[in-house]
Amino acid sequence: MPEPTPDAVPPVGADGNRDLDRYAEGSLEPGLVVAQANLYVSAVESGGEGTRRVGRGLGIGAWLAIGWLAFIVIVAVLAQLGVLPLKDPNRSYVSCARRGPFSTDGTASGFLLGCDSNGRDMIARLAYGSWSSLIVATGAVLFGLVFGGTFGLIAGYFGRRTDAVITSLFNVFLAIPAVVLALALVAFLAGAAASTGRSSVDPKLILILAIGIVSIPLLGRITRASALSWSQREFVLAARAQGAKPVRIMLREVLPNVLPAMFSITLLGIAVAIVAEGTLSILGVGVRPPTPSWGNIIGLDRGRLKESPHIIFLPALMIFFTVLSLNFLGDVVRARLDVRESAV
Amino acid sequence: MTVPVAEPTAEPVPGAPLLEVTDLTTHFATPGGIVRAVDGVSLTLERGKTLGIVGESGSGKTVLSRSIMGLLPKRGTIRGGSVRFDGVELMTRSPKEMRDFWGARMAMIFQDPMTSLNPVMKIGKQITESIRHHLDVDREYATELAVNLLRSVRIPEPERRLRDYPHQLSGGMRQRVCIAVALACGPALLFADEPTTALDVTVQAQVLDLMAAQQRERFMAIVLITHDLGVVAGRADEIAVMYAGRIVEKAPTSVLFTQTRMPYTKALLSSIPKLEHPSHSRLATIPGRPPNLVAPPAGCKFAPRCAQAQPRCLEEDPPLVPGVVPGHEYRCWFPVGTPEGDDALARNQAAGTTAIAGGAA
Amino acid sequence: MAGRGTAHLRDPEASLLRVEHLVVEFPVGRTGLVVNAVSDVSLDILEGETLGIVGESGCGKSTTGRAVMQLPPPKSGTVVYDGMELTALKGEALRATRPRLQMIFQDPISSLNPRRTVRDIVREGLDIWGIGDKAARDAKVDEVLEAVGIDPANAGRRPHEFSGGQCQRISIARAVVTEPKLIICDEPVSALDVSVQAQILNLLEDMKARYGLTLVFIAHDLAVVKNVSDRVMVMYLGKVCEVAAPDSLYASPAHPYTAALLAAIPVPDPGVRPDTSRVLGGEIPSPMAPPSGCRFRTRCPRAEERCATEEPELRTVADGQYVACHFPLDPGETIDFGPRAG
Repeated sequence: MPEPTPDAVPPVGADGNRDLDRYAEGSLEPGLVVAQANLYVSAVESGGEGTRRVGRGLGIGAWLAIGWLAFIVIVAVLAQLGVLPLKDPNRSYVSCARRGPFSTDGTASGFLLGCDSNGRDMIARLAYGSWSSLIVATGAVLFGLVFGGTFGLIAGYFGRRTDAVITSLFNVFLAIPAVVLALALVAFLAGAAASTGRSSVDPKLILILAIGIVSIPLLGRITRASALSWSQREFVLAARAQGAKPVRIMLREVLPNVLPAMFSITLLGIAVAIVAEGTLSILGVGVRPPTPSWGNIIGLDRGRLKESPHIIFLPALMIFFTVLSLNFLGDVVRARLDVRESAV
Repeated sequence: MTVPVAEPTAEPVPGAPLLEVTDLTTHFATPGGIVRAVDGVSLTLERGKTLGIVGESGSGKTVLSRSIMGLLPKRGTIRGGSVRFDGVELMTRSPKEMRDFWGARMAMIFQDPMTSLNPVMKIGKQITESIRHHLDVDREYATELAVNLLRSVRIPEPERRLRDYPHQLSGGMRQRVCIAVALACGPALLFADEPTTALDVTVQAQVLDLMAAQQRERFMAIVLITHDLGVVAGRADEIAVMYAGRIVEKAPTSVLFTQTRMPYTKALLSSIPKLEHPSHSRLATIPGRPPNLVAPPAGCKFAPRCAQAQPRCLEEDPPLVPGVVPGHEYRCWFPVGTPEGDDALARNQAAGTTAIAGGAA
Repeated sequence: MAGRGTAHLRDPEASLLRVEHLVVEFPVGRTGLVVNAVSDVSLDILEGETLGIVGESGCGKSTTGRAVMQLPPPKSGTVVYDGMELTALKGEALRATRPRLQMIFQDPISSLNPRRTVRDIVREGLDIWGIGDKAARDAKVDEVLEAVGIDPANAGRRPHEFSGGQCQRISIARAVVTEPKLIICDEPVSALDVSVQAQILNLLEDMKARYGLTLVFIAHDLAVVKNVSDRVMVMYLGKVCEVAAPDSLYASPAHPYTAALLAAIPVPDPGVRPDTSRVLGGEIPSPMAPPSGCRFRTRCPRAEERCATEEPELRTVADGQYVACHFPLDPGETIDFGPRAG
């Protein structure tokens, strides 16, 4: 006889108890395991319906993070489009140079956040700089995700020798200090661009490639781990039994399940890439001045921390809040991945 | 939170049954609402006896055992009723006080031995730790006890096994180790939660025999929780059938099988494939599925799936009523094997429907 | 069990599936050791028949089922299905046979992709092979969903919205949608509650009648296997012990291991007290170093020297009953495992 129509019920199989035990963290009380079954899972075990899918509120932290990121992105885009009433980020107001909040030279009227050592308006530079920083970080991570994700998916799905080869390549890359690798890549790519007569190549593109290549093994390994565990599920075997080709299985069966993990790591990755861009800029190989980025604002005036702290701290704060928001959201996304599915 | 009880005392009360559970409720607060996992369960268990608790997944049998032992997390769990162990009320005790009971006087073994053994600790250490925690003995003596325990659960070469990690043992061996750990301090009551579900059938027989032998030797009471009526049929003195967080029928084992009153018990029994039936015989099934424990149906919880349900069953919740044989109780307005029940079934069959107009299909 | 042999095979012309001398081995890391998962197993199935394969974990029953599907292909042996020798096919030629041979798995949750809708899951086989146009495929999906008792109106939902039993129905729908002749059911009801198990077993019988299926039914539960099978094969440690019609197998097991398995089944009847003396003792030996001769001899009270030196071949002991044992049980004879218990 057919069962009644389903109504958003979590799957409660005969293995409900096993699930309970799996989640019950066993702290070994001598003589028996104290099953600290969390109540959420207990509810699942006891057939509590609809508990899993009920939307859990995001919480104020996540909304603050989303708000900040939305603000930064909107400012970056609008500044780039030139619709914001900002001063020219490259125009020097010599009288205001180095002046700003907490500066030993005092504040400059008309410049809310002061100016940098060349007398350029900090607000304008931060706003335009956010475009550079975000585009480099996002671009780099997307680049790393496409290549790292593809390699990771292939390694995780095929396993065996393919996996061994790809994983060792990842490991070789991971063994090289990231900053050194990125520096070398920037030098190499810039040289390559110059030698082929394309010296007009946007330096941001070179940065995207350099940071992107560095991020491939990191993103690839995470994709591989997730793909490996999903590839061992029986629905993948079922697809093979139906005659699906490997590419179809990877794209239709494995990838959709790996995507949430990849999304969560993308957010964290962008955060890391923003810091990486900043680091490279401070080392003098980042976004090329006069185009501002958060990193090169700091890098240009890194010697003036004492007399004009605002020049260093303002972009640092931008990086801080953006990275914090991304990390926080990354964790929220990861926590919201289906508990049962990620616990495989 | 609990019914009024006498001043808690740690001293056993002479003459009291080993375990006396009265009107135990265990609800979980979840985002989806209150899950009534255990909803008013009463039972008694004497020393040396075995109580089988049978139910399908979601019936609340596992939560019941954990609630009795006080093993559920405090947060989000609402417990009510009374649990008396050796005459001592346990409901009012803190986890810290309960620690004196756990392991020493009541112990538990689980379905998956791997989750209850620490994977990075040698078998020997896991057993001796328990012994040394509860009994004030030195290391050598504890090791000697551990070897004896492993021998008593029939593990070959116990001295060598003490130095093994859990993953080096087979599933059956691991479950024996769990039993050894549970028996280490001579508990008076052992909860076995699906102890053999993950094991092969011949290993299951070995483990069940072992538990029975240990029970006889130690005069220990066992609560055997399982989904398999076959497992409890030959092993339990009394069986309680659970459905939707309640006991729907409870009886001495032979009575439960021969004078089944509750339609759910009957349906469960007849849905098991039997060896003595010829192949390709059609199995009886139970249509539909267990109710939502957040908003259970108003009347009898089984009525929507019951072949002999009548309008009354959908409106009025049947109480647990005693049967003819002492110790037999069931919840049903139209019990199987009575004129009322036969009438109800005949009426439904004649109409080709049940009280809910075939709604289950 | 130990045994091998082909005495139980029937007319190759009449059988839909014929497996001979199947061997599957898995390497253990880089140790050079191999797990002898399946060692020289032969079987055949007539069209419309259900072959039950029963045994405990490590007996190679699931591996046998997957080796028939060539997932992965066996180390040696031949698998002939519907006139095609699957073991001789590779790549595209093997892939082309897929829709005609399907499989149902144990874990109803794990065997359905949580990110796809039920309609997509069931339609996948038709999509892969481009069978019919879109409307025809959807109509076919509706038809099989209806047949397995899932309302097609719910086909837009994802697996987590269904119960375990319903997920197993969806798995069955996915298997029959390409109209295979043979379905290998690998422990299809082991993860289900008793009452749901009965529904699925009945459904399998219905599907068999409706779509003219032939089934390989792999399970560890003898009562379940008996209920669905026309012929039962008992396996132990990668070998065949006994092959017989279920009724004769259960009435008079000839192999000591079959007898032990039967004795170990808990009977839902309080009148039948468990008989300790008939419980099989000991542990299953390592498949990396299986015993010589008969693989069951280390746990068999009847074992003699001959069992260690000479591997028994399947031979007939009664009409349609084949056993691989040097000292099989006579009808009605019981066997006492008592002294070795534990």
